[in-house]
Amino acid sequence: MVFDRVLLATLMPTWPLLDGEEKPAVVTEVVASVSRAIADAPFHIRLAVRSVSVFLSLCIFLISAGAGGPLASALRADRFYTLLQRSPGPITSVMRLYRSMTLLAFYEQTPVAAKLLSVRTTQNQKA
Amino acid sequence: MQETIQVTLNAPLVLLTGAAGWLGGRIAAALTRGLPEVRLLATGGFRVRALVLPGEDVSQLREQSVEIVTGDVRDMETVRAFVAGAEGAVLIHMAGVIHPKAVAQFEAINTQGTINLLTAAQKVGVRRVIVMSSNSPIGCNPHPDHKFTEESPYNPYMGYGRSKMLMEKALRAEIAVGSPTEIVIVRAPWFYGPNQPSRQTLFFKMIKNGKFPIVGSGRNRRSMGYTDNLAQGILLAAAHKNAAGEIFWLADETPYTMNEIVETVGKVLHEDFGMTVKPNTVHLPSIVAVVATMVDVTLQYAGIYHQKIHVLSEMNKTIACDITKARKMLGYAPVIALREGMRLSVDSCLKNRQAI
Amino acid sequence: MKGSFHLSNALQLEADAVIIGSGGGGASVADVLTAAGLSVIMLEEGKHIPSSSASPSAREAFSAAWRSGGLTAAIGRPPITYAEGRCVGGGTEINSAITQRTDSDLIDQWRKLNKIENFTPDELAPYYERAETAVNASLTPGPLGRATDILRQGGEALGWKVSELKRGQRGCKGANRCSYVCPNGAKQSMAVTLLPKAVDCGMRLLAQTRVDKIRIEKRRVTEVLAQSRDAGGQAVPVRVKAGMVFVCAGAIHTPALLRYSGPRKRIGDTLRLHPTIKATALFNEPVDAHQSRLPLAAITEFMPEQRIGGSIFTPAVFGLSLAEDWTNRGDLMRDWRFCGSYYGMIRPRGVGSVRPLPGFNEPLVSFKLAPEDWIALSQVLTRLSRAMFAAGARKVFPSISGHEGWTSPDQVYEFWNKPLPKGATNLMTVHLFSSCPPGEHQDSCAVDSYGRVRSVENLFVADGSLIPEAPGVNPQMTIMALAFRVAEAALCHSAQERARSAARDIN
Repeated sequence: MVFDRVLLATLMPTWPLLDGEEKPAVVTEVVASVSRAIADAPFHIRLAVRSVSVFLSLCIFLISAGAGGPLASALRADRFYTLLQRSPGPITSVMRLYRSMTLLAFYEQTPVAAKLLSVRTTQNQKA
Repeated sequence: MQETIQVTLNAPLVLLTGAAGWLGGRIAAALTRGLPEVRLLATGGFRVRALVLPGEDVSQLREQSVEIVTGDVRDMETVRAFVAGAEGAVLIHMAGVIHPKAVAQFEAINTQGTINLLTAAQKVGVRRVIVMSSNSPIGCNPHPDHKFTEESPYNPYMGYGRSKMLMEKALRAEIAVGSPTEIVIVRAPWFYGPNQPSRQTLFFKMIKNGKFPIVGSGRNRRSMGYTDNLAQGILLAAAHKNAAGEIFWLADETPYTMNEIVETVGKVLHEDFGMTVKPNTVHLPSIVAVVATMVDVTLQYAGIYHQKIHVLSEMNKTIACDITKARKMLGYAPVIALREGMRLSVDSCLKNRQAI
Repeated sequence: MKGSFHLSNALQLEADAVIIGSGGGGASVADVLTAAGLSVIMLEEGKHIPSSSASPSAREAFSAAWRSGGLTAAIGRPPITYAEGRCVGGGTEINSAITQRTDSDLIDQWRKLNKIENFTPDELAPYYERAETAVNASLTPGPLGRATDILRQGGEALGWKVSELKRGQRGCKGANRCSYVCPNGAKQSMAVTLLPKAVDCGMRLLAQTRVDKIRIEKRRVTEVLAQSRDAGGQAVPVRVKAGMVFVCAGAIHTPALLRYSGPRKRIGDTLRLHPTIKATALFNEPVDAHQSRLPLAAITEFMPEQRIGGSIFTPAVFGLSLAEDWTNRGDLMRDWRFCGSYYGMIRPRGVGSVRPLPGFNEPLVSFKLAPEDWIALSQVLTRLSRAMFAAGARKVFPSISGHEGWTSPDQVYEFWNKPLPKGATNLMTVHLFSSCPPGEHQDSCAVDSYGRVRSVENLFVADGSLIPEAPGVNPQMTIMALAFRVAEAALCHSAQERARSAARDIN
């Protein structure tokens, strides 16, 4: 769904860092995975998600037009999401659902999972 | 005569992006033949490999026997070719875009481009990456006597500032998880020095013609960085053991007020080069900068970048930083100050046949 | 309607008994009935996922083995997300296979409350033993890892009772994928224990076959109507005639199916679950919870009212948990190797309900927490957090959106004397039961003491729906014990006896 792509692109975590080749491939996979999960969801969830997602994606599209890149769009969208947290239950729930599905799919992508596992176990307290 | 500042880089190879640029060119020179003017010399018997954009003038670099890779940081194949076999190397990343054709270039080049380089460098085992950032992620000081430290919070100024902030955040995330490739972030404000691009020559012209717009009182301060001072700081950041995982402000010893900058340039043009300098007449009320800021914000929100409006919007702002950390930790000691630096800049302009 | 939906295509089957659902309840019934020589047909809505094809990806596992891909929640304030298995083996394929018996005092209370016949702890003991033998309930061999040690260390430092948990396992290799279907066949789920045994005894198991309706005429089930799929994925109607019908579809779908098919009284009115609140603890040393077995100890000091334990942990599942407050907790992902996921669960006083929605595959599930539940949740969260700090945690983040987390043990009393914020608290559960309570108390019980649905002589419930109230422990052993009991009783009582009882039931 084109709606999902607009929305999900702003929900992608910024870390682990992905290079210019990995990023578009990961985004495509995540969008496909989330769309599949929504398609498998029970009817009432699908209905809620679909009715809210069109509205949300439209907002995100307008907000992030001209932001100049996925990260800058995400930055703008974040402020919008913070506002949304005070909105009525269903919108917040659908946002959370999208966020959850995006995170799960993102962290399971091969390049991302590999980077997570390669994180060292010495913490740097400075940063 | 003061002694030469020798910076020893323990690396077989130094990778340099933006090497054909204004500051990048000075760093390439410092790495190869040294900068005798400021008594700066990098030692260690390393090779230098530069990344330059297609079409950039590389004659200087060739003379300095620098290996050249041509391409763009947005292209992973270029990036991989650039870092190939660079195990144990030091990467100095100077490339970036300040005045783009469209806002989209900010993120693609400044943020994603840096991520591309860093991830590729980590894969091949580059030892340390020094990344050039800016004052823009931190924004403007709350009042003219305030100076930013490395702890100052992010408050990005427009598209450029955001792209550099996102870049810094990406780098800091890697620092936080203990990236095996060491990362150093250096931030420099407005810089000046020989071989400046023509937009800076315009600045001299305006002062000569008495047409430089002083917006507001002119008592707002600006940190400036003479390119060779910055080159020293960058080499120290590349060499110093304790620099890993740190951020440093680099600039001249002190910030200058806007009036002082305009006055000093006028004096240099008149006293050192015998030019007639008209007294500056263009004093604009602060509201002009406010309006310019609004227009700039609106345009940039829509993805449009207009250089003159952007510069005008910044005119009455204080952008000043404190270089104490770099001095204490790295032993950074800027050699050149405003008057001397401006003299060298004007001299270079004239030598390059840029009419003022 | 689909073109293939013609009566002529329908699969007509007959057997002595039909079992709806293949989880801990259904498989236990099958074990009893096949051993007695009955011909049995089992209908399972989900697919069969052999251990060899179990995916390490949470997304694929959720989509293959979890109902609605894991997107299920009981409506309420706050909504409580829940998980159910939907595959051959049901919940036993996606649980941690922890084998605990229900506290004897609770069993006694339930017997008295609902007037359940022959329901003393001693009378249930042989059924528990049978369940434990079936799954080889045993302590997991080998080192359990830091994730378990944290619970043990924290609990013991506070002077609390900590118990090592027995599980249904044989040669656990510590793949840490219990919730995704065990890839080694080491977890003694139904798909590797009772189901193959029953199939060897002649049981026919139809996977991907969803029961739509149970047809009841004159106090007797005449037919079970289901929908299966052929090899090409085309829908095939299935009709099964059988002498006895056992509904073992879990605490949500059993009442939904029954209500849709006719019986409604007291069915789906008393759903219970274990409201569970999670917390993420950040440590100075790596936990590497993904490398070890899921925490196999629990703080049992406050059982059966409250229990503190640990959750499965993979980087992706941990990342998923940060969605509840991404703005404040997203950065924790960088420290994922230093984090552990732990939970506190309570035995609630609140009650929920299950209602089928015409035209929808999933029923409407709601749950209303009682004021006492909020107090208990505050307590268990405080205790959990104390244990985390006692085990050396640097920071503890309760599962409350917008909460900044605690950095020292004295901060964890924040909610000791006040309820958690209802709007921001995130609750979940993996234990659902009590939607068809058994007993002779006809005002409060949906089924008789042996699981027979009121006023129907040959329809039985044999799954978690039967557990009279929340047991405060992992329910699998109780589910299996009660299902064995229902099946044995069904064999003992003659058809005439049951018909007489059904006629006597007040409707």
